[in-house]
Amino acid sequence: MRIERELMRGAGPVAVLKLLEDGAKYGYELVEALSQQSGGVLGMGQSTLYPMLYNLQAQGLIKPRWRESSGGRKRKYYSLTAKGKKRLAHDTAQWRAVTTAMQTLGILPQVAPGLDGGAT
Amino acid sequence: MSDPAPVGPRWRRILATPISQLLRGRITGAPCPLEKLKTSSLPENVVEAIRAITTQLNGRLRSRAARQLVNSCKERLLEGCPKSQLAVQLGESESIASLIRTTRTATWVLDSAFPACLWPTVNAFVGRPRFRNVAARRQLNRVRRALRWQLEAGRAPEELASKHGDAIALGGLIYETRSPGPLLDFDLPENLVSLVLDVVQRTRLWPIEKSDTARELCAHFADGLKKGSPPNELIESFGSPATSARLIRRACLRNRPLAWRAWRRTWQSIAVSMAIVLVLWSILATQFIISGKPTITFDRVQEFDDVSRAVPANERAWPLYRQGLSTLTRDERLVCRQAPDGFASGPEGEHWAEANTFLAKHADAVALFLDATSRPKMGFINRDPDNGAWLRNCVYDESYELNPPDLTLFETRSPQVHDLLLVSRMFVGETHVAVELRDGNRCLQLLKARLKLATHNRQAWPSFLCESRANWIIGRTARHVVQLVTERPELFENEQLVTLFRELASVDISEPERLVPPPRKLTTADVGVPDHGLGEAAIADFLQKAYTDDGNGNGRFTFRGFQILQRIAIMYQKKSWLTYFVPPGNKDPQTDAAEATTFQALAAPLALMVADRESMREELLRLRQLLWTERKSTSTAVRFTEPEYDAEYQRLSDSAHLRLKYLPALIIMPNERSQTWSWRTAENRVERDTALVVIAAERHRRRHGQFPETADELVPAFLSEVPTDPYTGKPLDYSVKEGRPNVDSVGLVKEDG
Repeated sequence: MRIERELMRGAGPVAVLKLLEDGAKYGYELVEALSQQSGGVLGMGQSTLYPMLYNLQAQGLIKPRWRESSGGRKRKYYSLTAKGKKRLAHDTAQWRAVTTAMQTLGILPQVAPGLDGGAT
Repeated sequence: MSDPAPVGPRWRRILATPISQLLRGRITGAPCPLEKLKTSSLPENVVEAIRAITTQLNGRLRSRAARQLVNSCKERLLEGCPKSQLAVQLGESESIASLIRTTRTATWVLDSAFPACLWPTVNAFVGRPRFRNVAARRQLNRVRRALRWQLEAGRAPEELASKHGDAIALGGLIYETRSPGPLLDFDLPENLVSLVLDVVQRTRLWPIEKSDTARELCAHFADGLKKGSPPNELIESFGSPATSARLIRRACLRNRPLAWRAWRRTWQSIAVSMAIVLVLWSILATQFIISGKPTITFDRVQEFDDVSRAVPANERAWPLYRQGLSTLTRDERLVCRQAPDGFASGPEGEHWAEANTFLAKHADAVALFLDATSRPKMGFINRDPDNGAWLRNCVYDESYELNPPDLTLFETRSPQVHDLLLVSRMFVGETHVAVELRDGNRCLQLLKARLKLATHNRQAWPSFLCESRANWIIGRTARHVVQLVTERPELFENEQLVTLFRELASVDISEPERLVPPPRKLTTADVGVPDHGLGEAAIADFLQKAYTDDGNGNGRFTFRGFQILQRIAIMYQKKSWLTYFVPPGNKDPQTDAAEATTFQALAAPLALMVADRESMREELLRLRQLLWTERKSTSTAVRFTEPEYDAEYQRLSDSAHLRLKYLPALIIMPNERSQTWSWRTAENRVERDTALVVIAAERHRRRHGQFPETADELVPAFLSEVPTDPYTGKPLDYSVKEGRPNVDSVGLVKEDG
């Protein structure tokens, strides 16, 4: 299921930040992780992902670094900054509040689905 | 070796056809440039390789490339390069020729060792339509540098050639990013590189940002390929390149330095502001030019002519003046203009002999002029077909039409006023002749004629200029009378003195006759002051030609109004004698003209700031009234006080807001401080009154044997009262000096001093 654009605009950055919480990742890795761990719900085209990464970078939430991969080819790895970690904690709390409200209203079931590797 | 088919545009191929060669005198075809060069030191196979390259080129490029290649080969041989290597390097003739066509030079071919098998690869990167001349040379250098790095890293030329054999998209990417090295690391199919190129081109970012983006996208696709995704699937999952490029650009711009963003925002704000202003200005200008047209309801010239036509023919002086003036040729007019002292100063003048000859020759004209002064009205008609001969002599133009009916601009031409000055000059000269002949009767006749000429001058056209000039004629005549009565008292008999006194006393030097009835819209009630006749008509004429008319006496300033103002400013600049206006002397004409041009360019928005028709009319009439009051004033020392007119004019000039609001008033109303207005009523009145006192004193001397000690002794036998000096408000200062009566006025003393 694809989610609405406006909802994706709010959820996408949090999801990316959450994925980077475990360590630096490069673009294709993020695309795959988003698609797989969200069951395709938060899967986004690369045309959306890279601008989002540049935006997060502009906000100082992530920082890029060109590193040589095991195959000898260079990749751009993104990692969370301290500011990014704060933002992630803040956004997570907000999403939890939203989820709780949704559950209270009966829109969501009592056990909310979570992203692999992230706190639920 | 036969030349291959020429390449290039159609006209170039036509030029290379045999018939074209034949027509150009080249029966055997275009000569090979190599034949003109010394190639004996080069091996045959190298020459053939150069020939193979240059035969694919045309025109001057062919000769230049041949010369450059031969020189390069010679230099390389001198440097010790093996002959066989040269031939190998020149091996790919087709690719090298294509690159030469693109870069318009061949100096790069042999400047360093480069495997010949890579030239097709380089050509794939560089030989694109968008690369020409300098851009192509830059791209060539980038590609060669990148390939050389790879060669130095140990890659075989054949491997590079096979890897980048069809690298059109990669070539474009290299051009966009200016950094080919890292991009050559990715072994991506053409369609994926094309996608990256598409995105990168659309971002319109800096080359370094494009390079970073391109590398990241290439790395992304390389990762996808490595994971086993087919290229088409990767392209599909990427999404829209346009959206991606737009979002990437937006994000990258946010990543740029704060100073750059501030600079960009500033320029964006300026551009937006300019655009808004431009749009508003366009709307205003369109509305201003299209919809704001004046409504002309009356023809002032026609009204003037109608008044003149109503005068009975035998009472009109102009036909006689015109008849006399028509006898003056253009050259004779010039004599009259260029030798004024001969007429004004008489025998003491430098050009008296010329003036005397001129007067003798035109005695008939003088007689006509004298006859004209016996008639009561001037009776000048602008649109009179009988004016043709006179106008031809006057304005030197066969087809000249004086103030035609379709005159939309404000200025009117009045050459008759100028010509009356010639008549005045001739009368003065004739007076000197009569004095020399001791002919008192003739002298009296001419003095009376000069006074009547002043009246006719006032009637020639309703303008300040005519009024001032008429007053000036009276003043000069009075001054002449004083000179004659004091220096040649025997010239006039008692009766003649009495006549002269009566004529001078009866002449009015301040009150113009009402020639043109004011337009219906301008009544005494509108103005609130007594109707002065002439000025209001001119004001109404200006308003109807410069403003729209809403039917209730109001309206807004129009584009035509700015044109009128500009014309007036230009007239100031030229100081044209034909203009209706009196040029204000201490206005800067250059500034006026520049201001008018600027105002015309910015006309639409500025027109909103110019006063509406009603306000402008009120202000013009107020200025007119103040000016008239001042000019009529003979009881105050006008020269030494701050007149109300000047104060009001200055008030409008000093305020930026009022200056703009009443710009038309400031331009069309005279500046009283100007030197042009030296012919002032007060001064001319003093001259006239001085003549009256001097005549009275001479009559006193004849009756009592001596001049009176004071002016009071002349009252009431010779004067009803001693005239008042307008500069002091007291009676004129009379005395007897060196046995002659003398009258002083502070104003005249100041003027002379």
